[in-house]
Amino acid sequence: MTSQVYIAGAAMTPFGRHNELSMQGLAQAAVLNALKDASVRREEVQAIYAANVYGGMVLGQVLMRDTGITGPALYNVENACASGATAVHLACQALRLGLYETVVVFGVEQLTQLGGGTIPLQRNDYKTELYASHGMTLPTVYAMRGTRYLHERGETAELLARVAVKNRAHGARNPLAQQRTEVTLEEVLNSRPVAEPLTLLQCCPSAVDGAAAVVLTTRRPTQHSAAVRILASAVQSGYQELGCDDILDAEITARTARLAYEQSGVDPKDVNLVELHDAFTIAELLYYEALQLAKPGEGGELLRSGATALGGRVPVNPSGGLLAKGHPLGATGVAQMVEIVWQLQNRADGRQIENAKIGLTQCTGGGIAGVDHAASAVHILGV
Amino acid sequence: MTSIEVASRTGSRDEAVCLDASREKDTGKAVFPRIPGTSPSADRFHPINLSPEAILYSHTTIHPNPKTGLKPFVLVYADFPEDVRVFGRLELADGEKPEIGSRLCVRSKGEGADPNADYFFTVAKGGKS
Repeated sequence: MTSQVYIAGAAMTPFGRHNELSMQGLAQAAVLNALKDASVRREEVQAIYAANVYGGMVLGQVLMRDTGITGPALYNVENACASGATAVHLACQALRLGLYETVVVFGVEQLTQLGGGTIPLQRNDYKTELYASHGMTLPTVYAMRGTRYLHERGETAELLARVAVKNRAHGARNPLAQQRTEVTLEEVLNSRPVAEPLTLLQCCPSAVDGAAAVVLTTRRPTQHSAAVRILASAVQSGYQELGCDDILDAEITARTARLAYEQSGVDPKDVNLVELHDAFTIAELLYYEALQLAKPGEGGELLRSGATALGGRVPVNPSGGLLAKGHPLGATGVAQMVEIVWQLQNRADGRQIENAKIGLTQCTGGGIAGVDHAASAVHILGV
Repeated sequence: MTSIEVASRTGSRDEAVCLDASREKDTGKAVFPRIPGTSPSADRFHPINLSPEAILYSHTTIHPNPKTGLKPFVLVYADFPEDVRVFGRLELADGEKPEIGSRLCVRSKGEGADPNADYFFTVAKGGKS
């Protein structure tokens, strides 16, 4: 690491159904607003990292063509739900190596074009093909964890529902979130069952569009109240699942988080807020422990204590998380960082966490058959 | 946990089967399905056959969107004595419910079916392990 990397500008579109905006419109809105936020001119951009999952070939170039930001190196990045975070990771590497001084990272997805329902699994794998033919989907993977969690911990489905109640209450305070309605425990538990023990309100919405962008630079920015630095950037891939592993051990996330904590020198107890990958309620409970926010076996108690709600010791998903804000795959990892930047700079209207200095983002990508997850990314940001 | 009636087993010509898997030479742990023999990585593994019974490790009941008209169905992770976990459908007789720790049998649809692709699980007689 030769240079400090700062997030000079951050922007995102509202997440939701965007019938009136093309994917080009979404991506360009995020990128141009991030550049404006950073006070960076288009000609200063030396590279672009474009994250997306379902958009197709040379997508970044297609989306940026009309902006006038053409010519610099453009890297298209796909790592399932961790695509955006992986793009930030790659950009950090290049900046730290001194290859560039200022780059743009954006993520975009238009899932409404897929028609809703569970998103397609990856292709080109005999194991995934077999398991998909038997009914394997992403909700299935998480529901299996949910059932086992409740069994081993002696809990009821009410604990899972509490995650949805919390994050949807946060989302109600975020004008950019897709779902802005507070819900009760009863409403969550009585919503349509999807994959038991998960009900509809415990699953992130799958019909959502959106884009997010950040401007990364090695020049210390001065235009905001605080300069946000990327203190750690870690990405790992999943080990092959052999034997009969413990599915409650989010091993890839724990491993990636350890790397990020080591890189940054930050102690987990000093993290002030977290944006994590709550695609399904059970995931948030597992990640409390993997990210060392709670000791092993104490994730449920952390949630019940209120520590992870706005106003608590370490608010988790103040944006509403994937459950309420929405989960346009390629955009998610970048949008998590946008939220942390705004929180650290006192710009998170309606949901501001007081005096936050350290924020953490965590994304996992791909519930691929045969590995824990395909990818995990953890970033630690600080002022 | 199953809140409404799920698709139940009707056929009686199902056959008990032993699935094909692979055991990693380095760790002794197994994987299913078997690593294809044509794979350049095949020499990392030994071919093995799994026992006809396993233990239910976790389960979920899938509720298809009501618009599809499809009945709910049960999916499981089943742990085999050869130290390998297999994902698949659990077909229940009337009155049966999925339960962690239950003994399961591996079955196939019978004549003409590829057991390594068309397998499913049923609850073994005596149920709990």
